[in-house]
Amino acid sequence: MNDENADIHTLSGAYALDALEPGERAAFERHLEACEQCRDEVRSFGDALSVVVDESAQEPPERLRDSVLAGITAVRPLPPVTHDSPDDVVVALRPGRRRAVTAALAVAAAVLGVALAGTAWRTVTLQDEVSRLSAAAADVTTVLTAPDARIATATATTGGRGTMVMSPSSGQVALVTDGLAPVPAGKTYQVWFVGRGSVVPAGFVDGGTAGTVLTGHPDDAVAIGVTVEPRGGSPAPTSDPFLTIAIPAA
Amino acid sequence: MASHPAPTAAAEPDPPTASAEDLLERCAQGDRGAFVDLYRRLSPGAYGLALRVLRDEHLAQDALQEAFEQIWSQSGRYDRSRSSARSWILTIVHRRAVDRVRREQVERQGAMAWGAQHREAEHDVVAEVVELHADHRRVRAALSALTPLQRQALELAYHRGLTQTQVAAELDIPLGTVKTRMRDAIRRLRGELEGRR
Ligand SMILES: [Zn+2]
Repeated sequence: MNDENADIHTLSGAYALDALEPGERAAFERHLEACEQCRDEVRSFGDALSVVVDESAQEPPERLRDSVLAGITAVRPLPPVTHDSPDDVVVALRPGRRRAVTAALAVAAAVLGVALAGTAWRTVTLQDEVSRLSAAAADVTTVLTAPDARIATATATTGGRGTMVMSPSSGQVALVTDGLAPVPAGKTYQVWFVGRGSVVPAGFVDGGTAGTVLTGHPDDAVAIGVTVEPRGGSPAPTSDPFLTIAIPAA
Repeated sequence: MASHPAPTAAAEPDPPTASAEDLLERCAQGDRGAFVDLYRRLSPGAYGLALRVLRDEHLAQDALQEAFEQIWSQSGRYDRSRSSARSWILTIVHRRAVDRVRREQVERQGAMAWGAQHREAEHDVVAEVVELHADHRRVRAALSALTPLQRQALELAYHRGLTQTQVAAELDIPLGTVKTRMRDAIRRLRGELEGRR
């Protein structure tokens, strides 16, 4: 129903209680960006719930602390979401062969028949992936934990790997990366949806371990590709993809 | 005892002046000491919450571990203008716990019908909430100021991990009613807690 939009403000309570479905939650989070009243309300609701929670506090076993600390030893906190923060790492990627623009990704799309066969697809039972990818952003977690989430993984030519998660019910596609080389100074990693004959921007992803929900998923997309682009991104890719993940037919 | 957990690892320094917000921002700089401190302060509340939702120690511990690893890696994305550190952390913990509950619901659905499980839960929901917090006057008083239906909405969503759609189906009331009831309930709770500070 479309009257959902008319009273989206009333979702603040359900949102604070985590009672929204993943799609609704994402929609309300977009609303929050624009609605100060709901932001204030959600903040105060969270504080009220914290008080209730504290009343049932219980000390977890000591070994859990050790295991949590062991879990973060190799993990560096993700950088803030803002993309205009200065890159502090200077590790040059191998300069890829300069080939004509979109052609590279179009080629990637063309050879997908082969790639598809080698792509590991499976349905649900996400526990292990979810815990491995717990570093991913919260909005990515929404896609990851959708009951109908499906996963595809591919290795990047420059090291590390990417995992694409899509949830048909929410219409969302997330990309989670693991061990990618740091983004070179002055550059950004830009993600693309590769369709039959078109390549459209899909967002950005950080180096290392990161996650992002992609934007503008076209119906005819057959793959996503990631390229190194000048900071701020490009309207069309200007280098070869170093990571390509095939989207199988539904 | 439960509400005043003694620090279990007295070895770590505990600068009393550092707020949880400060600690979280130091985590974002890679300060593991700040993380240890934050864990010590907030894990009892977080664990109690995970236990409440998952009703199983092992599941609750898994959820807590995943949540705190996520808290560490995402600390750079915390924005103190949007929420208190405590609330931000509890939100992550709660989502982990609820995600787990919902996955298991999906897995169980073939075997067990929804209704049977909750029919039994329904009648003592209110009593249970009040009972659990029997020693905690402030919260008990705030909760008891809610209507039974408001308490039920809070309980089903926050502690049992039902979505608003599931709550509507379970109680056989319109979704719109559930939405407003949840918001009214939590507004009332907030108001009561503020009034009794
Ligand atoms: Zn609003």
